[in-house]
Amino acid sequence: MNVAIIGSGQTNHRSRRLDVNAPELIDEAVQAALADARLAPDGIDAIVVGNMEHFEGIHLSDLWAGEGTGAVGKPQIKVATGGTTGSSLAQAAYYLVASGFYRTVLAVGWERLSDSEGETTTGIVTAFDPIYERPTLAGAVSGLAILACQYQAKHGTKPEEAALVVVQARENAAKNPHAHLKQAVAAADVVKSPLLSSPIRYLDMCPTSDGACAVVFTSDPGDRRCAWVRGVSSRHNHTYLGDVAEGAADFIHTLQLASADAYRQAGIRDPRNDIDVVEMYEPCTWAALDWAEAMGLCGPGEAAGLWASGTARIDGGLPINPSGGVLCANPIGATGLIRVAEASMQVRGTAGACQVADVETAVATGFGGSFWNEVMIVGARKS
Amino acid sequence: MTGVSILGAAQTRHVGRRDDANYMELAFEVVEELLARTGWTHDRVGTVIGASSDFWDGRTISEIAIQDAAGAAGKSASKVSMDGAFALVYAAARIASGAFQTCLVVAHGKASEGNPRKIANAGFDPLYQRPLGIDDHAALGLQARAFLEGRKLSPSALAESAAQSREAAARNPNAHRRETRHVLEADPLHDDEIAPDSDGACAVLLGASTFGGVELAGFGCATDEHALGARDLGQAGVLPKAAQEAYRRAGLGPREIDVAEIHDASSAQTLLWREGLGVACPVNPSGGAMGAQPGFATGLVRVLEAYERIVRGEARTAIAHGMTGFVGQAHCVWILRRRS
Repeated sequence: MNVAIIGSGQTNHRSRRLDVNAPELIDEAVQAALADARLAPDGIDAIVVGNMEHFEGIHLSDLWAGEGTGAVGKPQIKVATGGTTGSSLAQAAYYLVASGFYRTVLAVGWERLSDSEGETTTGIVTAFDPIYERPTLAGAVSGLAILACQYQAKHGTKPEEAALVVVQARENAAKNPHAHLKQAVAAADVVKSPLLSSPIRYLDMCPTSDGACAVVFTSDPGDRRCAWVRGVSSRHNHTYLGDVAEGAADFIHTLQLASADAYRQAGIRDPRNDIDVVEMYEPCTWAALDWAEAMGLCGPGEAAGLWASGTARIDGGLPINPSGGVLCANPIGATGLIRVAEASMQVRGTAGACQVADVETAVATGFGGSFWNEVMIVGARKS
Repeated sequence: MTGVSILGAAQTRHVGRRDDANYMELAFEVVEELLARTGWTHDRVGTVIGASSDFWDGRTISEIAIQDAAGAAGKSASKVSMDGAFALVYAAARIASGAFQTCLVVAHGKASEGNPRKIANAGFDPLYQRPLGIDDHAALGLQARAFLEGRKLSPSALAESAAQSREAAARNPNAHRRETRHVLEADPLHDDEIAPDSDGACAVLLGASTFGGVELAGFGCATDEHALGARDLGQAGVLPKAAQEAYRRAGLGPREIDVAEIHDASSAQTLLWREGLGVACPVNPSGGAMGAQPGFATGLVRVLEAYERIVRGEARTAIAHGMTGFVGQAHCVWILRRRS
């Protein structure tokens, strides 16, 4: 069954939202999505929700959140996969509609760390094997630093070249009312910012934010302006970090495989030209370089050129993250869903000052866990 | 009709403490057993859905640990952070969408590695309820009291129901063997009237109907209010709503069900959920959750028990029920049917 996105809503993401609790934060995004989709709450048949329990220190957070998602009396399924949680929600909502089980499904992701007992890095440290890996892996930054080191060694890219990714992201974020970090930065600021884990510096890395996002998927869009889901794929990885780094005997580039699979479904043969805009889940500047290549947006070692040449700008030949991306807002359980929301807004022509001209096809990605990746392609045409 | 079937299933023996295996190894055990039983291999499995709790596992993104155990590397996989019965909805949707032919569903729970009461406390409203020290057993007590009061029953009804579950569990080689004591745990419930905290896992292989197997005829889910005070705990809450959806999808009525396997976290729930489902058939011949309660695998074990009863020819139709949250905040009801 064909599935369309007919609306989305986001909070204005901030470092702290002390004025609301989790259900109230969620309610803001859900109300905005329902208004955008021109639906009353009873137009929603089922809900998929997700956030990360350890980050917030709240167990069964989905069941408390039901007061904000509107789940009372309805089916609600919780999906939680780390960084990919948001993109996994979009995929779950897609499959629940595509199966014919439900006509209209609301996907809701959020994270609210303000006054919680949890913290992102504290949570992520526990993701790894408690005996073999936990003592040496310090949260999300260390794994990405390995990737960045390998990219740098392979292509000789300089830190000030990678820095251009966040320089552009902040420029775009300044136009996006939902973005968290909007202050302009220069490449010189980035390479002088504190070192987190070589070569990743403070300004190379995404923030953690408080925020929520909701997206409406349906098989029956009626006359609503919609973005059709054209490709859905994800690829998972091995358990131990030694098996997921490039060069490992069983190395799987999950983004390369997931992109290729999604492109095949959407009929994309030449990604550089067939894709009009990309909303990529880039947790750090260096990852954006490796992943632009994995997605076939440029050749090996050429990614920094996409940013240096202006190709990746909102008015460039292949805009990447016109919203400002993850580098400028990262409410973790929502982050991947925001990529899908922004991609659908680009197709529906509702992206405001971040709007790219003439978007037919937009790609959203999600990254998480032990280097797994998810891809969703949305387009103006049904097939 | 969902167009999806169960092709095979496996579970561990459920016990109070498995010091020989971590949760990754529990998952590996059931996946290997399932593949051995069915003759399927990982390269023929299209996609994988896990069901587990980060809080119970003590690891965030806890499915990282089971990816290799479930053969998920290089495949599309995801995780439902609810009971395995809900994971089955997502798994079936992946197949019914046409994107996949088969899906492996793996659920586990290892209660012995944490303190289930303290973990449960972390699931209540952090401002208004958690500081009171409330946990899942306290909530079960409130529910059981409301149930007895509402029906003018004496507490002996709880003991009788528990005794029946114990008898059934004694005949089930996979049930959790434990020493129970008749001491008050959460008024009016005694220790032996509350489901145990078990270590265990369960795996189910789903496939498109073209593969044969036992038909997943229908399902229904519903979510209730979070606050206990906002619900009438003496009633079955949203369970009848979930059941009605399942009956409608399956085109069957409650009187056409031959056997029901329900997630009963207390002996009061054995009685209350039976009422909520509206069935008159035998309930929990396996001993139910009162016989073994391995975290988020509990509902998937119900599905397995229902499936095996149909495979053995002891039933033509069966209900399997799972839940997540306190005293039945979220219910999931499955109806299984033998192919004619």
